Formats: sequence, C-alpha cells, structure tokens
Amino acid sequence: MRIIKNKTLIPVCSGILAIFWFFYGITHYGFWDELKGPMPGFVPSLIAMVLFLISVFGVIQSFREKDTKKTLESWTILLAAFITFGIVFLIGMIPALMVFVFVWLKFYEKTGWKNTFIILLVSFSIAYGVFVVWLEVPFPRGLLFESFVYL
Amino acid sequence: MENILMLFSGFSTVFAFNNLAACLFGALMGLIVGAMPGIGSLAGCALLLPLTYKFNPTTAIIMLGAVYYANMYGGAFSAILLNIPGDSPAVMTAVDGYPMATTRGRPGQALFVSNISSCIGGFIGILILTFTGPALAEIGLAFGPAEMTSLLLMAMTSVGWLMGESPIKGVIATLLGIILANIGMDTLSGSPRFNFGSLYLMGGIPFIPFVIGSVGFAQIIKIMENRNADPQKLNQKLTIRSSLLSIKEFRRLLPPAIRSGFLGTFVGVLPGAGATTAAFLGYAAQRPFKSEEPLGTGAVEGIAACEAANNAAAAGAFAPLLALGIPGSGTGAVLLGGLIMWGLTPGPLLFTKSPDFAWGLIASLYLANLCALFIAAGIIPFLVKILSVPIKLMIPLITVVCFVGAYSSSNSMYGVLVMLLSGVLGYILDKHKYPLAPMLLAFVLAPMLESNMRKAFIISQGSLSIFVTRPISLVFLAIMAALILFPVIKTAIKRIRKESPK
Repeated sequence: MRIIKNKTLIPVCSGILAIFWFFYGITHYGFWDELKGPMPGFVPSLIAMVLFLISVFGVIQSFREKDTKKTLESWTILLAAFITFGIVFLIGMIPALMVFVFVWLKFYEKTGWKNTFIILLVSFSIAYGVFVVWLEVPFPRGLLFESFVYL
Repeated sequence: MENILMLFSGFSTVFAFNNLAACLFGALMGLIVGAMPGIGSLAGCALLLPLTYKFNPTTAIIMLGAVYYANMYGGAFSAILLNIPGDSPAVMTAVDGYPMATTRGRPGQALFVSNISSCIGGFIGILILTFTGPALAEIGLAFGPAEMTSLLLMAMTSVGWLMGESPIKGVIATLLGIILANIGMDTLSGSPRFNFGSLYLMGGIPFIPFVIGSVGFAQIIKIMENRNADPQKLNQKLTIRSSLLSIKEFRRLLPPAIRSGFLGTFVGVLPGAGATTAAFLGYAAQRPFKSEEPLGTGAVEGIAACEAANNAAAAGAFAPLLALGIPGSGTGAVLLGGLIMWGLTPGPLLFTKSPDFAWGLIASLYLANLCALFIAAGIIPFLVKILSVPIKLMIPLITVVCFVGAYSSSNSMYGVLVMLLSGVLGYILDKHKYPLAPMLLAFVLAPMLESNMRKAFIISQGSLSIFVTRPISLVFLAIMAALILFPVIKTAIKRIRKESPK
C-alpha cells in the first residue's frame, strides 16, 4: 500500500515547502528588528506558518477524496515542448517552433499535408508576422545561425 | 453643470478628424494587442508610445487612452476562446468565459456578454470620472498602508476562500501564489531574497510567462487527454446576429455589470490596485448573488462581473493620474511618462491649465468605449471560427503562441522556461481541483500586500491595533471575517436543518 497517494501529494509538498520557507526566511533575512521593524523575512515566514497549518488540514481532507487518474499521454506535449526549448538554442526560436509544429502534426498526429501546411502558415504568421515584424521582438537566432554570421 | 460644459468642449476636440482617426486606430490596435497573450495593456501602450512622438499631446493621449481601453476588451478574447488570458485582468474572465464558449457551446454569446459588460462597466467608470474625478482621487489618497493591507487581505481571502470546491484548497493556492511572489527582491529594501544565488531568480518570476504557463500551457497538457474529440459543435451559424444575446440574458448580465461598474471604478481609483484587483473583487462580489448556472461553469453573471469591473477600473485609474499625477497601475505609469514627454504636468492644475487636453481625454474615453464595442462585436464571427478547428490541430498552434508570448514579455528564454514549469504546476494543481485564479491573484498582489503591511507595522511600531483603529481598515476586515464565516455558518445551518426532522 502506498503511504502517499496522488491526492495527498500537493498538501504534503506545500507543507514541506512551508517549513523550508519559514526557516530559510527567518535565518537568512530576519523576522523583526527592534529599530527597523519588520525585516525582509517577516511576510514570507508569516505566510509560511499559515501555509503549514492549512497544509495539515489539506492532508487530513485529502484522505476523504478519491485519487486522480494518471494519464501519461498528457505529458507527451510537455516532453515535446522541452525538446523544442533545447532546439531553440541550436537553430533559433522561429525555426525550432516551425519544426515542432511540422513534426507534431505530421508524425505524431498523422495529419494530412493540407492541414499541416495551413497550421504551419498560421503559426508562422503569428510568430514572425506579428511578433518579429510588427512588435520587433528579438527572438534568439540559435548557435547555427550565429556561427554562420561569424564565418 | 460646469463639468458637462467642459465635457462638451472635450467632445468638440475629439471629433476633429485627426483625433477621431487616432481614437479609432487606438481602439483597433488595443483590441489586437490585448488579445495577444503576453502583450497586455502595459506592453501595448509602451509599444505604441513611440508612434505618438510626432502627434500633438491631445491626439497622442487620445490614442493611448483608446489603446488602454480597448486592451481590456481584447484581453477577454483569448481568455474566452483559448483559456489563455491576454492580460492579468482577464484571468477571471477565463473562469466562466471558457466553459461558456466550450462546454456550453456558446462562444459568440460569451464574447458578446464580455463586450457589453465591458461597455457598461466602462461607461459607469467614465461617468463617475467625469463628475467626481478629482474628489475620487482624494478618497483614494485617504487609503494608507493599513487600509490597503486590509483591502488586499480581503480580496485575497474572499477569492481564495470562496472559489473552487474546497476553501482549504483555495487558501493553499493563494498562499502558494504569495510564496512564489516572494522570490526576487525584497519590496522595501531591494535586497535579493529567495533567489538562491541565481541571477535570473533575482528578477523574480515574471508574471506574464507565469500566467501563460499556469493557465494556457496547463490547458494544453490537460486537453491532450481528449485531443481526438470532435471540434466544438456550434449550435448556431457563426454570424453576429446568432451571437446576439436574448433579452433574458441581457437582463441577467445587467445587475452584475452595474454593480461591478461602481466597484471597479472605486478600486481603479486606489493607487496601485488596478484592473486586476477590480476584476477579482468584482467576481468575488458576485458570489453571494444567485446565478442561473453556478459560477465557474460558464455563468453569464461571472463574465459580466469581472469584465465590467476591469473596464470600470481602467476609467477610474485616470482619476488619480490626471488629478494628482499618481498612476494607478503600470499602464498608468506609461501614460504618465507620455504626459511628461509631451511637456504636460499632471496634477490639480491640469484641468485648469490644459482643459482641452484633460477633457479631450475624458471625452475620448466615451468614444473609445463605443469604438471598441463595435469593432469587437464586428469581429466575433471570425474569432468564433477558432473553436471549430479540431483540438489536435490547435495544440501545436497554442503551444507556439505560449512560446512567443512568454519570450516576448521577458525577452529571454528564462521566460519560456518559467512558462513551461508553471504549466506543469498549473496542470498538477488543476488535476487535483486546486483553483488557479487565487494563486494568480495572490501572485500579482503579494508585493503590494507585503510593502503595505510592513509600512503599517513600521508606522504602528509593531502594533496590530493600526488595522482596527482606522475605520476604513476595520470595515474591510469585518467584510473579510463575514466572507470567511459565511460558508461555515451556511454549512452549519444546513446541517442543523437536516438533523432537525430526526
């Protein structure tokens, strides 16, 4: 039998975070100074104390709740997003996002060429047309592009 | 009477061709920029400020005023259709707007409710600004640190306690929001705090990537579970006429919109409170009132309450800005920068020294409100079509919007990383039925709460009495106590009633 179930995870984590926040806040930033009054650790420690108390109630309440279902498929997009995040440093933001859209639609979703092309075009219009051309956002261009520039 | 005459002279200024064109252009730009996640009113005004260099001050402020105003409308579009709030005031709009557009299959009506409520709230705000602007600004100044602390505590407690299925979960979400906002720099001394040696964390967690991740990207992770479902079956043609509200629906939205209009204006006047606080308070104030559908499940009243409040607050924020030179929000600070750039000194003398400018701006807000309403209503059929696209095609598209929106608000990949991580946090919290809105509200308001609370304690030399000896503060604390006790007493009465027949 598992001691900590899904439903108990959040209040347990928030309780641990509260204990850490309380001690880190008091020891590193101080709570109260006779002359200066409340120190930078005052509010964080106060909030941490309340969070710890509420988390205890949260743990008790969670025993009466049903556990949630785990679905691994949800995390596929997160994995893809993190891979895209890494690729941005290599080939730049806009190409990395276009590669992501293409690979996701064509190979993961098995979408037809027409829909893939339309979504690619819309994505490119938003990312490049609006953010780069109009708003002049300086997106990263990636190591490959930068190394070509300096060649 | 004098104010009415001055307002008419303001209208004569606005109806000059160049001012009218600036107002229309500003309203259109504001709608587009507001609808884009990650840009928001602050960045929108800042981005369009350089365009006004060559304008005369009156035309320039008319355009920026229209941008600011229309932004409030635009922020609701992506919140309702994609569950990605364009800006922080639209966070609450997504709570009811998205379910109404998707689960209830009425995206056109959801957008119309938002537009009409925004217009009503906006008009209430501008009317109050017209007649009592300078006086309101003085009331705002009566709010010291103790009053602001009590107001903010009331806002956070009411939303955290009353939202979602469990008050404990709401409060945990609120406190997590405050803890995350502690990261960065100390609000009073400016020294690094909870940054654990990281330069990135020293700047704190950027809000826009945080909200895009915890609401928008978390939604993408969530919809992966049923991504092969059919697109929204829209039970009406995608026309303006079919999106119009029935008289009954209009009657439903009217009371919350009027109530929130007054509340939002008052909150907008308070320095630093802004449209976000107004939207949250407007929604919280709607809770005790009955609605046909429960709040959070696509209720017309829920959308109306927060949209009217945030637009009214946008108008209210002009009172301290024009009358006292105190910006009520970040966007107000940009507008103040613009005023100074154009050689004007905001303050009590602005209305007497530059009446054309001050009253031209107020008159332009009426016009901007109408322009934004008509432009927004005109583009509803195009916007609604977004929902007829299959979900599996929307997933990569929204992910791209999340990436570029998160990057553009911070100009750093750190923003994208924050977006991804807060997406995971948002998904886990949502999966376990922890409401996200209280966390976002607390995250935005925590720095203000902390600085006011510490200032209050410094003034009172550590005594708690400052919060109860000041009448305004005491009223807010009493309301907060009533809000906390209301569900407890309600449950107790229900239990007693159930047990009494036995």
